[in-house]
Amino acid sequence: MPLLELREVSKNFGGLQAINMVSTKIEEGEIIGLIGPNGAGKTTLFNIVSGFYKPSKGKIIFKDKDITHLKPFQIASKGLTRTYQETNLFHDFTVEKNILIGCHLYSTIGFFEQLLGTSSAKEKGRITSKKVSDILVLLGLSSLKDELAKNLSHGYQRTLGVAIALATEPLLLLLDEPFSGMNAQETSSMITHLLKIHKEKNITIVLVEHDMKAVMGLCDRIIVLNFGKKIAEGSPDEIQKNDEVIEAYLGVDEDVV
Amino acid sequence: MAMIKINLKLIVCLFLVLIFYLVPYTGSIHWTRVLIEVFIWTTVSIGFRLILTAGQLSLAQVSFMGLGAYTIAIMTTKIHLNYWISFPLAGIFASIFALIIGFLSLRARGIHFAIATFAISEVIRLTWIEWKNLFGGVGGIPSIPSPNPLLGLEFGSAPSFYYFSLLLVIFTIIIMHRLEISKFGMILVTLEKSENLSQSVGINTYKYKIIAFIIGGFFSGLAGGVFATFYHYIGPEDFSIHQTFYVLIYVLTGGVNTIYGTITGVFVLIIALKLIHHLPAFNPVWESLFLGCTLLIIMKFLPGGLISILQKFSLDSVLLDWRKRRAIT
Repeated sequence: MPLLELREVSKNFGGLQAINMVSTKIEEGEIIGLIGPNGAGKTTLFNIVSGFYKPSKGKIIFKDKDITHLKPFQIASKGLTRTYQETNLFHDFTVEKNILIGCHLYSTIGFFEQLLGTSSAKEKGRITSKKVSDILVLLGLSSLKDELAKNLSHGYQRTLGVAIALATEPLLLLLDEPFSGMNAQETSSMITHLLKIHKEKNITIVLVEHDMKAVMGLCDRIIVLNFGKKIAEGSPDEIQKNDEVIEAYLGVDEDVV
Repeated sequence: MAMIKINLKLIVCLFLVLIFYLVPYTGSIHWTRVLIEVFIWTTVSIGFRLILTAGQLSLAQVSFMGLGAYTIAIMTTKIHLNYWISFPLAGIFASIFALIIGFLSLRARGIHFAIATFAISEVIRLTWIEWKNLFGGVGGIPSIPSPNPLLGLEFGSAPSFYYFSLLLVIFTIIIMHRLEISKFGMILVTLEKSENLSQSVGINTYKYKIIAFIIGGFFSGLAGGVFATFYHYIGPEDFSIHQTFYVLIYVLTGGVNTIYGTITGVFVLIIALKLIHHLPAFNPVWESLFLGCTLLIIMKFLPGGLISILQKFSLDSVLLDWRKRRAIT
């Protein structure tokens, strides 16, 4: 059984067909790359899967359950978490608190427990802060834990974005351009982190990315979108040789036609 | 170091409570009554601030206060219920309304929410005016009795009523402080700038806002209950949008970032307004003029509010400054 399945998902914005009948299956344990030229609908597809947009047509099945009409927070609680293309953090909080908020789903402190500061609340707080420090270590953010998120460098901010998502203990992680704006060194350390997350926590990853070298190296399978349609799907080698993909990216050579 | 700091705060708090405890002993009924007013508006303003931290400007906060006040007024004058049963009912009634109003309006964000709550507050005010049998119309409800004696204590006189309102405001501050440092408060603050991200880590942001709205409504309702018994008379104009703007100015002047800023704002501005009343040839226009100018000056020179002066000169920052200077020389 696939972890995530899209069945003929379409999305119209007025007259514009942003996503057109996209179907695909994602198995547990895969790393999938979602690529395509600008405006192909990659981020829109993420927004649909994570519940921020409702599809005009089609169904989204996650772990054998229909999640098409659930709200974003409900989808997150089922184990499907996303990150954002723009740097989206809790800017005025420290790194540690950012991850702490990410742990929301797994810290079951009741409202009155918090208000009264009971011993059970403190115990639960300790368990959560253990989890936070594990994530800090895993992503190499330990030394920065008391720094305000807005003061971090771009590379660390992106890493923190992944750390927040990781705190929700997802089964499936949707990463929207995790390497954008990074230099070669930052990119390679992000790749190391992602592989570590994938291996140690057994998290399935889908990522949108323009950095082809990173995508080809990291992903088991690649899905290519163009003008809202899925035009190809396959291993990195297959995708590199696919004529339609080359055409989408480079245009058609008119002399040959 | 941390221990010393906490104790220092505690000492300051106890000291302030002691000062406020001693005020009625000065024998000035006028200033005792002024402080009761300060306590009432502090309670309302703190409730107002709670939903403001989530980035939602509620223009219906004073209506919740009015709902509490009318509840007490009707319970004590028409049904003749004991005051100490009606008082919690004032809070509960206001919070039920907050639940309904929040449910309808909190889906909207920013200016849309402000306009929606403004419209709702006007509907509530017009209801008080139009349902004359129940709410007394424009004339309001007069001769609201003082609280019944409780545990042998009389609440008819200004000093005893003063202590009652002081207890209410301390209770409100403690609860709100605990909320602010808890996870609940932390999540509420994230909703202003990063609501999307909060949703994508599984937080039901709508529910959090409604809970904050209900809590704010509850305390405003209680404050309304105190208000009604304090003046023995309420009318629809006591809870108009005009009063909400006063609350907004108190909060902004004191500083929206902390509860203490809000408390400072209410305290300083109400006392200042009373002092203006004592000026020779006082004209009511001066009141609005003063508030408007204060707000402008604060926005221009102290965007963090009056409390940011304290933070600038706090012990920590002075020490840090001193260490820096020593490191240079």
